[in-house]
Amino acid sequence: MRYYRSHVMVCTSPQCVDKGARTLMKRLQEELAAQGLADEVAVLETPHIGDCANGPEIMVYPDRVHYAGLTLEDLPSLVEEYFKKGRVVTRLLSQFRPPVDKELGPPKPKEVRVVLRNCGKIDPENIEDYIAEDGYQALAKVLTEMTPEQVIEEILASGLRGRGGAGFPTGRKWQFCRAAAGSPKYVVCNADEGDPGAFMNRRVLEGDPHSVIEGMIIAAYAIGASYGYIYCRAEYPIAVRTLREAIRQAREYGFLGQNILGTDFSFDLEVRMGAGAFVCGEETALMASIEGKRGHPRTRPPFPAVSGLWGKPTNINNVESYAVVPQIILKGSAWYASMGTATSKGTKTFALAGDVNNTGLIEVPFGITMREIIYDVGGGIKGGKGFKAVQTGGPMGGCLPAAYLDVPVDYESLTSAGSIMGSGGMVVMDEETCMVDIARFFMEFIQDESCGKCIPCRVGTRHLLEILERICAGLGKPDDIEELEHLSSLIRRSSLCGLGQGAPNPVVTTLRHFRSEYEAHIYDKRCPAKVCRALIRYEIDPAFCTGCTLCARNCPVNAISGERRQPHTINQELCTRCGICKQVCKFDAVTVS
Amino acid sequence: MSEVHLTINGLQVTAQSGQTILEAARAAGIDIPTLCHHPMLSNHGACRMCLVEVKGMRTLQTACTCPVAEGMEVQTETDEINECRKFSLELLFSERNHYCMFCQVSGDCELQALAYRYGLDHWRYPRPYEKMAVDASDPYIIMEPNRCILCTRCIRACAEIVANHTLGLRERGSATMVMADLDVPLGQSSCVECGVCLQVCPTGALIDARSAYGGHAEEVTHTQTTCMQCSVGCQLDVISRSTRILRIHGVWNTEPGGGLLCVDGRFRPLYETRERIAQPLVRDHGKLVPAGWTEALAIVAKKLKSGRVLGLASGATSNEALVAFAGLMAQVGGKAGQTMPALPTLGFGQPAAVQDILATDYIIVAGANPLVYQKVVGYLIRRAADRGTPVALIDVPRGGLEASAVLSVSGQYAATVTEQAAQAQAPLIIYSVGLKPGVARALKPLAHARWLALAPGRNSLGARAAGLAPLEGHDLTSSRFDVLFFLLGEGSEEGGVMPRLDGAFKIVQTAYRSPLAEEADVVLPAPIWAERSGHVTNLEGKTLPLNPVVPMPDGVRDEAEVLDTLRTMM
Amino acid sequence: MPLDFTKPTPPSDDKRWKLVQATMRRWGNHHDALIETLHTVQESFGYLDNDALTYVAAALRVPLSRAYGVATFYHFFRLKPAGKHTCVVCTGTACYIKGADQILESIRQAYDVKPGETTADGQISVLTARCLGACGLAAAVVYDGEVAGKQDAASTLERLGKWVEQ
Repeated sequence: MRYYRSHVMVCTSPQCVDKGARTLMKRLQEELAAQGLADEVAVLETPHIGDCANGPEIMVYPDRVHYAGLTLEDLPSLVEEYFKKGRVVTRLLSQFRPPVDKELGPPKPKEVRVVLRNCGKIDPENIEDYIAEDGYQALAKVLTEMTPEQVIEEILASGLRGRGGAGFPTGRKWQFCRAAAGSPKYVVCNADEGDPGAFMNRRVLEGDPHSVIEGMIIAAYAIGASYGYIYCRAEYPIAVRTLREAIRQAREYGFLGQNILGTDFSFDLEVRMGAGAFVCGEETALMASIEGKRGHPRTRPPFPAVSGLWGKPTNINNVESYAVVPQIILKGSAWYASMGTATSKGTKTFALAGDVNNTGLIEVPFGITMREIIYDVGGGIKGGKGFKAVQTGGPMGGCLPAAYLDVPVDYESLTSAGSIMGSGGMVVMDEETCMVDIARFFMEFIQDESCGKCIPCRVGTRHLLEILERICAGLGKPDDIEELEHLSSLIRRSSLCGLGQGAPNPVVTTLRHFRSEYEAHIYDKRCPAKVCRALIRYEIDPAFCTGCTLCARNCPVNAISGERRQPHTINQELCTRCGICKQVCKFDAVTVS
Repeated sequence: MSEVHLTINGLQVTAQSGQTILEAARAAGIDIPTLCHHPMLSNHGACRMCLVEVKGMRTLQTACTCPVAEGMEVQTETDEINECRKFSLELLFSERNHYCMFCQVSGDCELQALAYRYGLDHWRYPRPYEKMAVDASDPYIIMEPNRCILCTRCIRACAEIVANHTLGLRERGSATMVMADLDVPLGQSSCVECGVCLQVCPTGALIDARSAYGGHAEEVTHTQTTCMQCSVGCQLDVISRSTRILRIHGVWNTEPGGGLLCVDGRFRPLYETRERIAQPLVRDHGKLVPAGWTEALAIVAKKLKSGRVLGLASGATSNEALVAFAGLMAQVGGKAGQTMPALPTLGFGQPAAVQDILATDYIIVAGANPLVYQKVVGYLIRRAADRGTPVALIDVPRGGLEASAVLSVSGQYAATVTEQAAQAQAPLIIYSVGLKPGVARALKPLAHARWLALAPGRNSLGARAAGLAPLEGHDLTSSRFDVLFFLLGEGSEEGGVMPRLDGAFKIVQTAYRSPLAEEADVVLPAPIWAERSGHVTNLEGKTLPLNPVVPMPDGVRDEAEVLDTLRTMM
Repeated sequence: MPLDFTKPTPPSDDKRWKLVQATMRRWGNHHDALIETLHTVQESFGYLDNDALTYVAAALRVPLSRAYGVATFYHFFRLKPAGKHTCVVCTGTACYIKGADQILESIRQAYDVKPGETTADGQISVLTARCLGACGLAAAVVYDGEVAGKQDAASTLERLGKWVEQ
């Protein structure tokens, strides 16, 4: 392989070709040769850069300098000035800016972007953009310079732990699968990001699909797999489309298929869509779903590494785990292990949502505190309200109160606080959130998403939900708290899969940290956060009501009456406490008590 | 297989690698409760009854799924385990209608037995179950969803034992329920009514329509005998209470079917509607009237001595009766044979057993229709297909097997199948009376193949062994016989031949009224399957025992005994 | 090839079955393509009816019970036709905190439909989604495929009202 110091991509989109891109390309090669740079600068075609409207255009890597509107006359001076002397020719620079990832935005304070480094920066539908960012170099290194054992050693040394939630060391997983007898072996990427409030994986899949694909190919090489699946939830149609296009391009470039990069290693990959079942994020249920079956988890052992897809050894990792692999290989395990804490290495993406000023996706090194995430990265609580709790780890995670704000965010600390790392959902709640209601919300979710296979989850969570509903409806009984604890403890110990075992967690953590709220609901029939409908009433403060009639016109049950320009009143018999009147009132005259 | 050493409750146990903790424990005499587990089915791990503690594992493990490992330390009865087991039982009881006193399996229910064992003396959780409609659309099987614990044994049995896949689960979570096909009533579904689901249901969710409320386990008698409804020869566990047969189960792990039965073996015999013949009948002034044995036998003996006799046996009787029949016919110098057509021979290969269907890498079915005539063989073929064994059909009528086949051709293309099967290590050719000579020739390159010949009818091989060859040609059409003696057993068989009847004196030895019996001049009553002692020969050529479940009615005599009496009268 | 059994024929000569057949072919007509194929049927026809399930099951050699079991296990699949308009309310955690259940409750009161149901006049289908991944926009509602952020009961009812008026 020849090494060039620069690669020039000439856009050969129909529009640019129309404007003379082909001639330009030929003349550029001639000019480079004339000035003695033919061995240093390679000129290649690319299907698309972005500024075709001002074509013809070229992109120079690795400098990422984008020239557009070039004429043949510009070439001698461009080669002279830029390629020879290294001075950027400002007048020829393209004014085009690739769309910034709106969802992601520029890095926020304290963010370190490793997994997200390419998101918003490269065109996910153009493999060359990825290649320009050192893409597939790790694969080339692995295939030509490293044995599978060395790859696994490197991943082990990096301290990378499964980003799906449980935090099992990725290298160990690969080791098990490599050691397992059976053929063929499979690698599977879990892209069934189902935790409500979590969308880190979607961003990576839509913004940098090749990092995941490259990571999977490296994993396949390390464990000796010949085929792979990316299981992506159907709620992410753009991610599915982007992935399929990326796989097609990777195949076209020879990164997938037979004899990858001329070696005797062969591997191919396809995307399978989920169909709306949260439980399919559980690895054994996910495999059942890939096999076209109902997403029922099965007991482990045997673990997928021994008996997975179609009973064959299978390695399953999360999107984020695979996406970071190429960088670990390229930059070395020491670089990766230099970030994070003693047991949790590297960075983690989180989807910050709820009542913070900066919601959205963030990537931070492990060890950062919750306070830093919420107040520095997240910009603090919206509307200057008080912090109440942060929910991590999705429906099987837990709610942590202010006392835990200074706990470092890593696998062990979150677990000992009663929550879990999970896949990275992080929902911040302000003081107007009712924790009993939140527990009820999660239990409703679990009941809806329980697969129904094992009895503790199928029926046990229903009893939990019934008790929580009763408490929220003001019908709580004195021994309800004890019963919740009893049920939670037994469901956790006797359920089949992680979903059932983690299902009671929202109840357990809210009981542990916000017990007084439960007691207020049960004994005082009062919802301190003024959320539970049965325990609150809406009233109109005559002092503020201007009689504008807006509330009366919007009330879906016609419970509000009053003369125009006269204070209105709410008929409590009819009121269903939907809260629309409070939402529409322009004078803050509607109060909750 | 290697030995693995582990301790269970502190006891040293030696197991085989690949075994589960449950298997190892049971082999060592240690009891672990189970509910969704069934030894004939794949493991499910859902009921949480068999939870055990394994040292070093994060969570409690289901013994039915957890493989043994060297040095493993297992506890099966800690307080925590028992608390979890009781919890799951309490939840099951709260899920649906488990009021035992109104349930027909009360006393024989695995759920109820566990409830006693774990001391469930009251309902801990509310029971807000919604009543679901009972499905009684099938004549044999009642589905009572309100008693279902979703152990999925029935579904697994339907898929793994019969390979019929009628039963499945609909919805998910707490809305999950067992259903058939596209959630249609069982009676309108693809169910083949083999009844294996009934046999594996641990509660009263699947009810045998006939024997419900018929008696509890301690009040019934079990008799093992051989099914006589076709030539497969499945082993039956006949459950009776005094002289009433309640129901029939398959006997697990017995040859040939492994415990699988079909509708013909499990249900039809118990739903018999034909009128039984309880004493000899003789024709008097054109009408059949009851007669004593002495009178009837005297008439028969006289006719046999004087006439030119043609004896015709159907296979629905025992080897002993067939031998006696052949002996009698020889003694009177008559012509004797059986009604079933001849079974062709393949001319190469080695014979196989029925269970070999599951241990081959290519199956060819030629000139046979097992899903109709030897159903259990048909089910086993589909089971093999589910496991990935290619199945090719030659001259097999449409009727279900084609959905499991990789190839289905008419006889003229048999060579295509030979080509495809050439790579197989141990191809199996299953054929029956429809095998054409040309097909056998085309298959001949598969010289290493084994074969399974599906004998037509019921005990046609027993008849053959008794020297009763298939009758055909002019024997059937000529009028040179003036006495016809039919040994019918439980009746003439589908596909059997029938001679010209006009003019001849007809003796029929049979158990039921039938058009042929109505034309007879003398009718000698015969026992039915449940009353027989003796043997039959199945399609593998094995001699299998017949054991009486209930006594013969007064007035009915064993055929062999009657035939031997006639010999002494000659 | 001298095959005497034929591939099952589609329930009708509707051209959309060609799309379904193409999906099955892409996955080699293998039974693990069931979920992918059902996706194509739903994209093409809007929902899965018994004819479609029967056809797909036969073509992929999947038991009917499994086809039905899969179609009802996964909430993405619909066995009944959807209304003229669909309104998908996100019930992810962030949206819940921002009042997703109030939105659903107001729809229920105004149109007498619960999630998963369609109004009696066939105008509006109301669905819920488990987190659209648009938590920054909470509460999010998807009106006929178009995501709208920062919704509340009032704005949702206003939007649905426009559909009904048309």
